[in-house]
Amino acid sequence: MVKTTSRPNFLDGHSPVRVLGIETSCDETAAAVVVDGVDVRSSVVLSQINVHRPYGGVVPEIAARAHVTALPQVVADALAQAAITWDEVDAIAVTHGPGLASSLRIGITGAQALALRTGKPLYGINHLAGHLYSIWLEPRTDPPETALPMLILLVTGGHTLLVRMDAIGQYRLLGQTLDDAVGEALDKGATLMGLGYPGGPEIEQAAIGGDPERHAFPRGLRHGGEGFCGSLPRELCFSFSGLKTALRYLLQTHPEWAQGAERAHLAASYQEAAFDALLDRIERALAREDVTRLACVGGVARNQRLRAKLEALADRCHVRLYTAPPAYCTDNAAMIAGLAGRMAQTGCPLPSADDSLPNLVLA
Amino acid sequence: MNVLALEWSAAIGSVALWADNEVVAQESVSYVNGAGATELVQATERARTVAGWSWDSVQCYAVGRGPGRYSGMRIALTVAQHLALPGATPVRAVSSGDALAAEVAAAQPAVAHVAVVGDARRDYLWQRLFTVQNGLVRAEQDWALATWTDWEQALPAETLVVSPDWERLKSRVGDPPAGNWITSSKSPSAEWVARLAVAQLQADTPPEPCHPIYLHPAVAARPA
Repeated sequence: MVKTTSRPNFLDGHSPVRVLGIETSCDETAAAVVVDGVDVRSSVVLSQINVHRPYGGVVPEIAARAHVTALPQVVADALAQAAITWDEVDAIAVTHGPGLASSLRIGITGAQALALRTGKPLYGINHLAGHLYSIWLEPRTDPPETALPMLILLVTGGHTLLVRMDAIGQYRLLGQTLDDAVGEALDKGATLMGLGYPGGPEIEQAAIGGDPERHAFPRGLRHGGEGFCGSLPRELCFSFSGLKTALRYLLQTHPEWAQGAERAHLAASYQEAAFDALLDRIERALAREDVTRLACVGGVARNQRLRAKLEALADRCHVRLYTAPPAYCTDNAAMIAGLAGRMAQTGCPLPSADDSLPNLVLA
Repeated sequence: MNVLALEWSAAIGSVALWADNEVVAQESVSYVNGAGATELVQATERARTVAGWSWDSVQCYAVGRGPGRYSGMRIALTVAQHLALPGATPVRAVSSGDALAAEVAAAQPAVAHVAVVGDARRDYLWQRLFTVQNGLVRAEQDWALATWTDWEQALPAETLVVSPDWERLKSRVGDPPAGNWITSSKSPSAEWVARLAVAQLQADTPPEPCHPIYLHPAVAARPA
């Protein structure tokens, strides 16, 4: 059980609300200034991908070291690019979980020091809630008052969640992965195919021109059944471990398929199986929930094939689709600052940022 | 010069406000009960309140960069740099171990050498040897890892040895021990971090990077 205490919302009714956001939950060092929850004045993201690439995944100790080095300049750049002074910042928001403990701690520490020095209120924001909010960083998205309720698929390297959102701050988890996140499955699949890191973009690139039906990979939990996984209906949950294992065995039998023209077919088929599983659960959830709007957020939402499949599904199911702007799909601080600003303006209780909460849940 | 100094590379961390060659306020924090950034930030505010300083009156932040506990070093460096950001105040990072050596040498100016050692885990010590002249220290080498045996063999006779990790290291100290140990754990202090930073500024010493001193690589083995 995580401890989250609310603190007074100093900004209730205040306008404009200029929030400095800080995000260091994993391997991106990010800071942003967002006005009134939607107007992104700056969004600085320093990616560590190159230093983690040789390891095929994020190394927590490398990430923490890099955050310590990078964060002060990233914050300074965010203020400079937004062309506002410290006096003009109304509040500071920082990701306080979930994420890597040693990485979260750097962002929270910096934010606490800034709050002390400037006297600005400091709020802790849930990283997952920030991702869900990222669709409102796209100016064409209907405001929450009219767009909600909504079904949202959150797909990243660390999470795969299906969420019903009824209002800002009101989330109901409908389904989640029982093993790997879809982004993790793509990373590991890419490694097995001899592709680079991060795996999602590598597989997407390798899949160009490939036949997505060439190889029959399993669609995990396709026959979900009636049971429950914890409190979640099994038919809305995901599993990608079988997909990964199937690729491994296939390449043990046919190692040559990881090379040459066949690799495009392999990548396309692997990616298709992962995305089919996502869409299958979305369709089931749409049938259960009385919603007419669907959204997809998170780093994997950048994938063009997934977007095309989601658009087709939305047409077929007569729901409106929203996707996060590509720049705000991967980890960023604009979504943190934006959500904090929105919550502040609408009187939502905002948690304090006293400590890192690596296992913080959404709902 | 008004200096706000932070140090947390060992079990006991501290904050010191330093002006006109003396400490005007100080606070300490410890790792007991999982203390973290919040405790150091609160200690900083308590010390500042006691001293009656405004933030704008801080002319320099000084901070210890280790070697030592990773979490504490990172917290202290991050707090110092972010306190400094809004006012574009300079930050001076100094070696925490150097500050500890200077403090010990000032208390015992007759010794010829001081060694500062810590438990670097994985069967290593982190260590640095200093020569003492007139109560002032001069480092003889960079901070480095050493096996216990190699370190003992290279240690000059009668060296005064101090460690923030005495409790963990004492079972390894031989009989007779190499060196003359201070037989209690001694954490570097923010006061001596401030003294060192001011001395370096007055001597126009090139600044050290505002990064922790890590003696182990981030990953034990490189990928194949």
